[in-house]
Amino acid sequence: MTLRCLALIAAALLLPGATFARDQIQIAGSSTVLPYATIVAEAFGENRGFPTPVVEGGGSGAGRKKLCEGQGEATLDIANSSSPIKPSDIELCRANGVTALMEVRIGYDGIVFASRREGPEFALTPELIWRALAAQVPQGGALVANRVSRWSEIDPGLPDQPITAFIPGTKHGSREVFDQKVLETGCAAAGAEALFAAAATGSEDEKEQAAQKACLMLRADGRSVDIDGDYAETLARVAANPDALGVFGLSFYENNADKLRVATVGGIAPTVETIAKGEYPVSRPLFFYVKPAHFDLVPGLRDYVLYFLSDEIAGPGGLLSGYGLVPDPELAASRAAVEAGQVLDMGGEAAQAPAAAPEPANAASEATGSAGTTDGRPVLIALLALAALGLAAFLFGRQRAARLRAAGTAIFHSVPAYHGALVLLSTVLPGALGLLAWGGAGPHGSPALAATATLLPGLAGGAYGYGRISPDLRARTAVERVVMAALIGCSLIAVLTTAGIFASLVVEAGHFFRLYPAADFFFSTTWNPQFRGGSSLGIWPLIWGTFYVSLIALLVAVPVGLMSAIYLAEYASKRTRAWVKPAIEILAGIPTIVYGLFALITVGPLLRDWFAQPLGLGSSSSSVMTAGLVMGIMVIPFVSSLSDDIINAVPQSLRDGSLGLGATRSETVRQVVLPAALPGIVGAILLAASRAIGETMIVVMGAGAAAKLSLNPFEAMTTVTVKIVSQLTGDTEFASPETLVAFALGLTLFLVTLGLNVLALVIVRKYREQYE
Amino acid sequence: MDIETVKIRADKVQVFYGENHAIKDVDVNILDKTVTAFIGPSGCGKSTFLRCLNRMNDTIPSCRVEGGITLDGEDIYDPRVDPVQLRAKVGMVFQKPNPFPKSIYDNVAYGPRIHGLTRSKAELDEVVEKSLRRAALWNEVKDRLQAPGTGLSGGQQQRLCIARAVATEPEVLLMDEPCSALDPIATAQVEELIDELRENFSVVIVTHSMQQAARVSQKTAFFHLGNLVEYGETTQIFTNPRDPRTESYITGRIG
Amino acid sequence: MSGRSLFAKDARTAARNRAERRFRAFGFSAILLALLALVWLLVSILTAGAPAFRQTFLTFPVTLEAKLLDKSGIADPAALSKVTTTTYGKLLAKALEAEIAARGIEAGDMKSKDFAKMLSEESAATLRNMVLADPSLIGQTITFRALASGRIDGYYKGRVTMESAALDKNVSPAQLALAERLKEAGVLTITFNPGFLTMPDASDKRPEAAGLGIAIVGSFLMMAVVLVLSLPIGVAASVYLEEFAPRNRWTDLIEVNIANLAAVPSIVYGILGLAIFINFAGLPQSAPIVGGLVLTLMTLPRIIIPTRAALKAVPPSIRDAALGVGASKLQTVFHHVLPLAMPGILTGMIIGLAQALGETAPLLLIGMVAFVRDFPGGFFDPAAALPVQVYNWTTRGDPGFVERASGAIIVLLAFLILMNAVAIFLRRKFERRW
Repeated sequence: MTLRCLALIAAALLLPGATFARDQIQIAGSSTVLPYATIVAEAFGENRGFPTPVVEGGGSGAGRKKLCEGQGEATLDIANSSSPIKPSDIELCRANGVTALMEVRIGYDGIVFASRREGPEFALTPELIWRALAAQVPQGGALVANRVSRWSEIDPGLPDQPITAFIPGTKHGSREVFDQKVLETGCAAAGAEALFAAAATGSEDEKEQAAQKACLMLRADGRSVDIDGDYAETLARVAANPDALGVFGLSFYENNADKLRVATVGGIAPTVETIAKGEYPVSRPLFFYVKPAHFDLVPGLRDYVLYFLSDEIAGPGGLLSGYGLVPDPELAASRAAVEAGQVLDMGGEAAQAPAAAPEPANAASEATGSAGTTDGRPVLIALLALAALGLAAFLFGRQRAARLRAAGTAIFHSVPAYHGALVLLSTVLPGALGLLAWGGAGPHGSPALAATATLLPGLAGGAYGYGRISPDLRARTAVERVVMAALIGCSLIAVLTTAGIFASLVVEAGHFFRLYPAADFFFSTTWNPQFRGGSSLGIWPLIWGTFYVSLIALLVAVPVGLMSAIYLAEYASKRTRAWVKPAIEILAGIPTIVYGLFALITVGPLLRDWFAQPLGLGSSSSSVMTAGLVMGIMVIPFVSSLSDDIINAVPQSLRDGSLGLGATRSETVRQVVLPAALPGIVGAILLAASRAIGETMIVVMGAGAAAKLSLNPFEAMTTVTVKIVSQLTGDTEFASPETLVAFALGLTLFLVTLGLNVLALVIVRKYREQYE
Repeated sequence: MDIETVKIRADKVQVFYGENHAIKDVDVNILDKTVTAFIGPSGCGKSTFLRCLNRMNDTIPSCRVEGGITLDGEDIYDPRVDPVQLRAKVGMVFQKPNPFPKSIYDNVAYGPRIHGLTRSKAELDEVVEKSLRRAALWNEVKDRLQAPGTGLSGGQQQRLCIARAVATEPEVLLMDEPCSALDPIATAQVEELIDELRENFSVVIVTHSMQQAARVSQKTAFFHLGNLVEYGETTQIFTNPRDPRTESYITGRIG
Repeated sequence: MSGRSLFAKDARTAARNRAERRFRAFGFSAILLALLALVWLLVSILTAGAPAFRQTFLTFPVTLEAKLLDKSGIADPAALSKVTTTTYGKLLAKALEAEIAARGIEAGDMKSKDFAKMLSEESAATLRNMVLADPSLIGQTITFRALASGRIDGYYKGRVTMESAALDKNVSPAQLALAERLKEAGVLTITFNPGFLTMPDASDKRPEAAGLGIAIVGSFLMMAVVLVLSLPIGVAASVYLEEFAPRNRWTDLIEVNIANLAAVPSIVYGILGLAIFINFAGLPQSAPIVGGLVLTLMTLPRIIIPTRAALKAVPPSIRDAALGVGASKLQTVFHHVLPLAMPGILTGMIIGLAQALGETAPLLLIGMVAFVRDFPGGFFDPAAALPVQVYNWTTRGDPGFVERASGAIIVLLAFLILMNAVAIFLRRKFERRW
């Protein structure tokens, strides 16, 4: 009965969700464009009478990939992008029937260099920056390793202070601009490009490529630090380090101008105006890509695009320039292009799509759209109808059985309710099969067809079952057999989940290994994803970071957890135990996001100001120590609770034996109880280790994102889980090894934790059996 | 048994578990170099009283002991007494064999090590051998001293526990139903051992088997419902009990 | 042969007792350390988050001039909705300026743009919605409570100082000085802010308006999915494994598998959800249904384990009694064992739900991080989730969001405490000792 009630409640709850027709614009992509897009979406929703668009980050690459997944309601309308669309995206789009895209440039993002407000002014040029950060610099016509340690050594006009620069990590779109506009320009201006080319071998093309690559090589002695986190992390590092120079987006700088002093580049200070005029050299255009075919599909989409491009929003003095977006001088032209329906040249025949005619494109999208979407309405209606039919079948079946029983003299094998249930099953099961068959044949057609496909077999089955009711029918046995099958099915879901995890990881990791050699992944010690390919994706720095953070976590958790468990099990009074144990277990119930925030706003700055800086070990608030310490706190109850159970399982007779010989309690614990409990405790620690290795939010918010092999616990490092999140939501292309590597990482993580878990479980189980 | 020295003297001992008055007004003198048996139906308090004699009851938080118990005339519940030192002098063997999850050697060496009784490895080896010999186990285990103690048979385990207890050179050995988990052959071995131990120690044994008490002890105390009903020579208790309750018990009318 | 006196102290025993005390002190300090960590964590989050529940408002009369808001004069809804928030914003700024002049408060050489910047952009939208909902307000003078801008609010929460304002493009010391005078005059007030719990998220330009409304609804919808799916499935799986499954290698495998799934890192479930529900099944991103499904898969093993324990705790005598009167095995389980185990099952379920409620990492991968301003109408509409909203706010540029993130955590913890309290209540109330 309870189950049946629950099913009805489920149906009732799911019903309001049946509104599949989409009226909200869906946007995803670049995290640089995200704040601008949310501001526009908010204003659009308030003023234009349409629902507020749903805006997601996730990175330019992921956004463009989603945009190109197909047309129709289930797909994205707009992808925000901090870089122009890539040929691979266009190919994907074409393959999925997306034949027309509009490229809309919304403005420019300025990249600025800033240091602590209290420090001196910097007047930089690309050449000076390159000379400070490059791995090799020309000296007397030859290339030598860069050993400059103070800015004043490069140019007497620069402050006499050590060089430390925090630059965007390679997953950031802004790094691409930094590479092009600062490093390449600076390299050429310093006359090094020619030297690099001369030093390389091979054809002219190869030489040029080698030179370009060499220009982008940065020194690895810690003077140039990649920040893989967001600008907030760069700000925290700069704020903590009086010598450091950081790279920021203009809008971020403008919102934190009270803490930062901005450097001029080529004598020009970055402002919205200087960038708009092209005087300030380091900037990049920002785009979004929209499917014109959706203009008639999603209400307000066209309006949103034009609203975004209006002077009120993206123009000089508009809403967005107040937030640091540099207006595009050609905004009016972009607007006109949208109004004219001008689409991107995608190489195919679609390039000739008639300008102001969305109709054909739209018609095409209707066809592809309905094929691509999974419209849930027919399924839902069919399911509801089937539920109603099932209920009727139950009632009729029960009634008939009751009538027959009352009328005849024969003894029924089963009570009427079981006959009712059997009729219900013989109705619902064929019906569900019919629905499945309809879905398997390709979900086409109207709700009526789905309902027919479901109800016809259902009715037939029901009639058959109704006819079979007789005293001899073993209805209960039959029903129980079905229920049993359902129970087994439910317990197999766990197996299916594991299979699903494994399959999805293996398939996608397979894609990765086709693009990237497995040997490099497993044996290389460099993790350095690049935008233009040629990434190094060695897992070792990530493994090291994971291991180091987990090690610190265990160094915190094991002594504290174990000693707490010992105290609770051996010393504490019943009353103390009754409230201390749950109190410590609260630590396990607190969501990891809370620990993450705790690491971010409390522990990180504390460790930086009181330990890392006074000891001269670094200036980063996110560090292995921060994440390890906080994770250690989180893991304490995992060690203490299980250890407590295990220590309690040690028979009292062993304690008595030891105490009876005149041992003190601590001698008893150390020499008798702990050795006896050791296997179980090892199991508990392994489980805690597995937990620490798989933890994500604490390391995302507390450990930083720099992949490196370092021993200094106060440096930011990164872990496998952090990189899974950042590579799946970064600015890189989706079908590239840089993104797919996340699945290979996931597979590694899954296998490692699986091994640890199974080992721990087996040990603990063996241990339990020993004393049971 | 020329001079009967009183080893332990109990004077109006009361034991409470929370509100429950478990031992009432027990007076008993336990003699040196004698085996004293405590008998009585289960729940009569004999084990509880035994555990008072080396303050093992301290480990149970709700337990409270009143009255006086002296060892060689010294009050063992005096605040100056360290239970750890007391238990070194008054050893204990338990109902279930409880060898530590260590080697046979380490089991026996445990006491001497924690109390610092030996100064060298050779001396410790000697103590271990002597104790195992006293427990009549040496010949069976001398070739596998490093094997785990938990790998022995039940009777061997119990003798190992006895060896472990005598290794600390106690003056009194308390035994709480030491044979209840053993088969008859092992029981016989342990009983024989107890008789030998009498030469050096004062032994107090709790048993639910009257026959065993009759076999091994010189003195017997009969407990009933927390009271010490009768205490005297074992032969007298079994042949000529003074109290009707004792008689009922040894003739099997109550149990 | 009586040895040394019991009263004699020897150095070795004294040293051993010192070691004993040391060991005990270690144990005690370990517990103290763990509890201190808990207190430190809670205090730090509470102090950082408490200000999110208070907000700075400016209350002043606003004349809703018809010539600005309703040029046609006929209150035509279509025409009224053409008037944008920009106009309303200017109207509000003017009204504030007028109020300051009327009260004779010294405003320095501030321009009307500077007055506008003291107000949140959200307040213009609020006023516009008020007017659109009730066009008869046009022409009247109403007393309006406007949200102050994030920087003014930050000044009263210690984020912004006169020194930092001098360097900040978004606020000036003159505005802060004026805010102080407005506070003395009673125009500026700092009060409890229910909007934090009811309003939707807001863009980076208005941290002062960001609220948890949609995140709470989204989390609630996800929990509904988890409850509806994982309770029956979890109970059915547990019943099979505990009551019917033969003890062989297969069931052993299933058991180890479930125990392992309960310990698989949650991020792996995110990858699974991304691959199966989004990429393969084509379910919409950011929808509570997908979040709910992923969390269901994650929660199932964590429910099966306590459910099996609860079933195991029902003594065999109950089963024997039912079987003895001729009930089938299935009837025995459903009529007798399950009802007796129900309190334990529900307790495990609630604790599993509480874990699911706080889970963040898998939701990041399936797009529950979207910026959503409209309340979801069902399980397939985009929504946010409480823990993800916390993460989202920590990545925003404006420092005002940090306080919001901590505040959101307070709300999350409040929900968790509530759920755990229910679980404890259930356990205490129905606890049975066999």
